[in-house]
Amino acid sequence: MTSQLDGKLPDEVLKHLSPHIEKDEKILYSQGSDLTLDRRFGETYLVITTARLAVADREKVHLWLKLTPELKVKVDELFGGARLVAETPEGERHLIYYTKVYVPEFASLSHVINELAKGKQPPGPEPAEAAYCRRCGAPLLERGGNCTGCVQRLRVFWRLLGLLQPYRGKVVCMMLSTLLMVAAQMGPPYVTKMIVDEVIKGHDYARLSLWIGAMVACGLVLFVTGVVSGALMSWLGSRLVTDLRNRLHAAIQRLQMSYFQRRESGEIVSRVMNDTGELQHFLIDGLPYFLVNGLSFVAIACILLRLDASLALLVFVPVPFLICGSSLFWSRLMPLFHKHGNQTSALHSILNESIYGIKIVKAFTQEQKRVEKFDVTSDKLFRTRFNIERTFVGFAEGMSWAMSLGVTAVWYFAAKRIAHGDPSLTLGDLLAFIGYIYLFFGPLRWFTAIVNWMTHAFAGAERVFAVLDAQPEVYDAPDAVSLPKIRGAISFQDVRFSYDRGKEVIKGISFEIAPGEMIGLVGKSGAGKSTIINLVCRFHDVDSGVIAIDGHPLKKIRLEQMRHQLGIVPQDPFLFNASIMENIRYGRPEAGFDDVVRAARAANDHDFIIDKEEGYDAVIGEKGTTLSGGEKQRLAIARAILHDPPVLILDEATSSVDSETEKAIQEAIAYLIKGRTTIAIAHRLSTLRNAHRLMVIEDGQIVEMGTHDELLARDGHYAKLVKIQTELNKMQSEAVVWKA
Amino acid sequence: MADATRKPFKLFRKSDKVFIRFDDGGEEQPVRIVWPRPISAPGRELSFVDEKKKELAMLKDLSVLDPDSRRIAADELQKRYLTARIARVVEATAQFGRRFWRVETDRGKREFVVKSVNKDVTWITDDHILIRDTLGYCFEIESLAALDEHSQTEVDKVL
Repeated sequence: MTSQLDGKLPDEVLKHLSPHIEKDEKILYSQGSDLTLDRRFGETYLVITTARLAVADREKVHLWLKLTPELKVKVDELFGGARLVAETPEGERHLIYYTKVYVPEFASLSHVINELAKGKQPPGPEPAEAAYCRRCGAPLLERGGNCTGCVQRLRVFWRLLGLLQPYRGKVVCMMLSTLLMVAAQMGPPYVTKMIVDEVIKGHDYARLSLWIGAMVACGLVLFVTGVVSGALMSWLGSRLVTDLRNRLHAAIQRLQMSYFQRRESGEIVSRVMNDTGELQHFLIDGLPYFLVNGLSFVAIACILLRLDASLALLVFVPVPFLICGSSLFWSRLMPLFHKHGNQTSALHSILNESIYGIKIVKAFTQEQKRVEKFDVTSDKLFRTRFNIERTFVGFAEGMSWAMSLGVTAVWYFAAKRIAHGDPSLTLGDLLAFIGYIYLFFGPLRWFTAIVNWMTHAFAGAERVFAVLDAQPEVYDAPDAVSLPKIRGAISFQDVRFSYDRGKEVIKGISFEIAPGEMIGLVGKSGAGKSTIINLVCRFHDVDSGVIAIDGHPLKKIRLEQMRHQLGIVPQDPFLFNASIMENIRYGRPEAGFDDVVRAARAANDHDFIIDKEEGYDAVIGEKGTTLSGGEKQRLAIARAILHDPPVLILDEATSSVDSETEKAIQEAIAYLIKGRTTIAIAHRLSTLRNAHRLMVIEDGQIVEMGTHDELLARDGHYAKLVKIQTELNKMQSEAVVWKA
Repeated sequence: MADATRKPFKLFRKSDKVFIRFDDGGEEQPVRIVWPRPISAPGRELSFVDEKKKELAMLKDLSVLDPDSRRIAADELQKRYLTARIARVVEATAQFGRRFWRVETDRGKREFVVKSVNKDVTWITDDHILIRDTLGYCFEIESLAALDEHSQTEVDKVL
């Protein structure tokens, strides 16, 4: 049995540890791993006391290590897992092995150990999101996600019902018309009985028109209630899902950035569209079927018992078999459906590659190989489809046959009784019976499928609710100050930050930026430059230290107001599927055309824009105009110019463009930074020639800070970078000369 | 690196750490031993990588090493690659958009879930399968045909 190993130590392990624990020593933390020391699936525990760490299992304690300042624990990543390694003066020791399941737990714990070894008092390890269901121990589809096996259907159902509160009237109408519909369904077999018994056998022709009228009335009621309840059901189902989807989208817009950091965007999109779509499908198609047939099932059972109890019992005999048969059938069919889905998407991706990659396919003359690959997958799909259909037909025919057996049995016993002159049973009763049997058996075949379907849809709903319940960003702390006009002084005081606990990305950074100053951030990728920018925008909150704007800590400034005064030109500028005009005035939708043109001119955009057939009205996006990387970047600059923020952030605004475009962008930037506090990241140091000061960041720390000339004179990291780039530029210009 | 691959060297351990020293002199340095093709051809070639992630040597197989070095390399590789080989599939189901597996492996029993058959299952050959669970841990079926009949039926239900 696999399940989450949390911080609790089993008694057997404790038993081995306790004799070694000294008087003033206390166990602080422990964490279980799912691998033994010889890397089989099992349990091993890492235990941290006030003075030592120990590795133990249920058999014995394998290792004790003193927590001394020389001790350093680090994670060594392996294939499929990792191990904790202790660096001690005596050499390196492998402490404990674990699979990917416990990566976050041990990363956090290693951080805690290192802090303790240095004599500090760190806060305890951060609880990780569970990989196994805390209730049933089953592995989860995603960390911290819900367990489909443990979906609390009733709770989800109540919560969904709660969403229908505003539409109470419609719900009541829908319920009434459904009840009426079920009642009308019960009519015709009973009318048949009366016609046979009263009119045909009793020769009471006067009542024929009455019964025929009743039959027509039943049909009419069935028609009207069917339309009304169907329409209401669709309206309610769609309304509910639309409301849910809107709320979900609104909730996502306000979620913390860390939520997006941990998930692929496709996963979130699927939550908004697929999970709600699945629910909609069930609410419109599944639930009504379930409701109507469930009700009529009970109603018919009652009617049958009233008509003739012994015959009714005969009809009930096959019910358990039919239910068993249908669940068996669905358990066979479900995997086939899954297979079908996978093969369809596999075919899709082959097709996609064939078309998007056609140039490469042709250039490497791989057409025949592509054709073969498609044919093989296509053929697999055919076989699965056929398998599904065959299973389906077999099931449908089998069920009909089983039902006809029931009908035959009723004919046999009823006919015998009627022939023997049993007065308690009439020919009409028999015909009514036969009519009800079909209504009775029919829905049975779908019941298992619908229960499965419901679980699936409700699991989706639960996932949606989980997002709705997730912690949003704090937009307005109660003590937040209003800063309608920022001057632009930014300060960092011993700021520390990590995306995942245990892996610090910013390791104690302090600096001050004066209003209107331009600062260039230089350093290798992964050094932490972009993280500094993310922190200034407050996409994440710092672990410790303070970031302040105009002397106010970031956390105490109204979030929306603060962000509104930041302008960002990102590395890969995201433009919306809208006209160039709309994109430029994204941050100030009320801006007039004159302002837009002024911004576009300042960013060196105007000329290329009017060169487009549709000018400022050209729509950017897949179906519209495609822009080059440099054009996109300049549009993003125009967007920032129009937005007119006191603080400007440039994240690699001149990467991936040619030298000529770079010059155009640099001119645009020179205009843009006038009078604003600017933080710019650039790989090309030439972009930073306007910067007042430069900061060289390495491994989350500032290693050098000063003006271009100061840093060159120091002959350190920055000077080295400049030298490399100068050589690179020389090589490029030589290549140009050589080509000419 | 072509030259480096032919330079003979020895491996040795200090506590649990593995070091390399080339026979033509030079200093000993810590080394990490990896398979360049861990999925499609585990055990075939070996790369020896230093702490700055630079390759120091590459070997076709372990046979050119002296017995001590060979033992150390084999042991290190066994510790680095934690893939579990499936011996029996007790249960495999596809339900609610996930594939749930209960298996017996050379490392013991395990339950896991697979998200996407197309992304997380690699068919190395028609018979040789690598399955990655939702957390990235890998299971290997070395030969589908060699599994017992029950296991094969279960695998067929989900793949």
